[in-house]
Amino acid sequence: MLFFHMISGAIVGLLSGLLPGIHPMLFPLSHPVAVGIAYGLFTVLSILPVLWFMYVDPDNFASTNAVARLSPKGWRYITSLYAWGVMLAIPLMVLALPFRQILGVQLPCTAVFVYLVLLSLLLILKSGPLPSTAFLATLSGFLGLLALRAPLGVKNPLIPLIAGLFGFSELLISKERSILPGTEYTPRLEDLGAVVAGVLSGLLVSYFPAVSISLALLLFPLFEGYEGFIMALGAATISSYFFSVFGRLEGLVRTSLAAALPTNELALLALPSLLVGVSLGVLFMRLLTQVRVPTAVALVIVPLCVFYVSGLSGLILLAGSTALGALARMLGVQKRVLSFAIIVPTLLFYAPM
Amino acid sequence: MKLELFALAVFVAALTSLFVLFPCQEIGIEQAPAHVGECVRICGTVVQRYATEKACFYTLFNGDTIKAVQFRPYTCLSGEICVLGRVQMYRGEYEVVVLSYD
Repeated sequence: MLFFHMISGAIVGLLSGLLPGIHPMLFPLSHPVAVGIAYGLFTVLSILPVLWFMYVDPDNFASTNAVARLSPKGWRYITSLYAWGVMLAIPLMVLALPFRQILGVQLPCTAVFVYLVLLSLLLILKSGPLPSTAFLATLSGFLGLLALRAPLGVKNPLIPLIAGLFGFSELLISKERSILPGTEYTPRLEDLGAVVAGVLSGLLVSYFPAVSISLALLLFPLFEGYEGFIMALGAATISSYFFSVFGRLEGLVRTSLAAALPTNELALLALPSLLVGVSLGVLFMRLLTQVRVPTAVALVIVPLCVFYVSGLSGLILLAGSTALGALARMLGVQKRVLSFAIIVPTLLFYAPM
Repeated sequence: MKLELFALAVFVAALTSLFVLFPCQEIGIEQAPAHVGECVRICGTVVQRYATEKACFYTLFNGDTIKAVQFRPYTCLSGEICVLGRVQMYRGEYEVVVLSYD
């Protein structure tokens, strides 16, 4: 049975990593081994759709700009940079294991509320022209409330909401492109700052509600240039998943991986599984870079998955969130401001009333 | 250092820990009461065993409760028989089907 869970996790990880717009949370995985392997593979491979299509990944949506800037150096350079970020984070994460109890400390509601207000202000001030940013923040907050708090009756509303805001809207306007192989990146001692920044950001994402990786990285400027940013992003993604497992044991759900896990000690099985998935992803990345998925295929698969998971009402929500995602592009506002779709319902949940 | 070599080392270490460390972890019986669909881990002493060609049925005595389980259990470090599964139905007893470790 363990072997079966490993295979099913690997299939889901490959599909979600290679198909833009497909996320492991779209699949009904329940065993920690399958969940861990799927998210591990997804973490590494999700850089490929960014390379192929300039696709904006819902989890790593800040990577697109950095990848575009580094494109002249080739795909080998970018993928190895990202993969080193993921791999070098592993020793640091393991060193942090004795302090896992910290992730079980529940913050008072008022503290979370104040933190979310400050986070919202930071987001609005740093994401583009103020009027357009405020306008998009309001719209996305309203959409988030309709989907997550009001009884719209959408099953699994988070999936069409996130897929539309960050993924599907980008896929509609993205173009397939070719990129040279280039040379592989060799890590240096100076990269330690980027990896530490990534692990700290991942820790923040796994503990605080509604904070995204790109936002957390703003708080730890220990990296330099686009190279440092890509490495930090890899480290942050894997560590956010890794640490969120401990939060899950205490009932905290901060990542979709945590949500898919049981609340008992079984959840710990996801940790070695996550590392198995990550290393498999790195080992197969060279080969999988050659397997290019046409945009048209992804454009069909994403709505099909949403329909399967959330039904017809999910498709309507996907259309609304996609329109909002495209609007952000047209107004020249950074897409992280669309996180208000999650922040506003969370803010109201923690509001002292 | 080569990226692939690093990844291979992590792969071997993680896979080994998955197969070796976790199945031997002994978890107490305090999972009860469990509900339908929930994952449970139960440890206890085998008091009755019935086996066919395709499956094994064990009855575990655990405190004052009898649990009927169907699969191949594994031996915990303490020597007790441990089973891991998901509650399939609730009828006064826990009927458990295997999730892994067979």
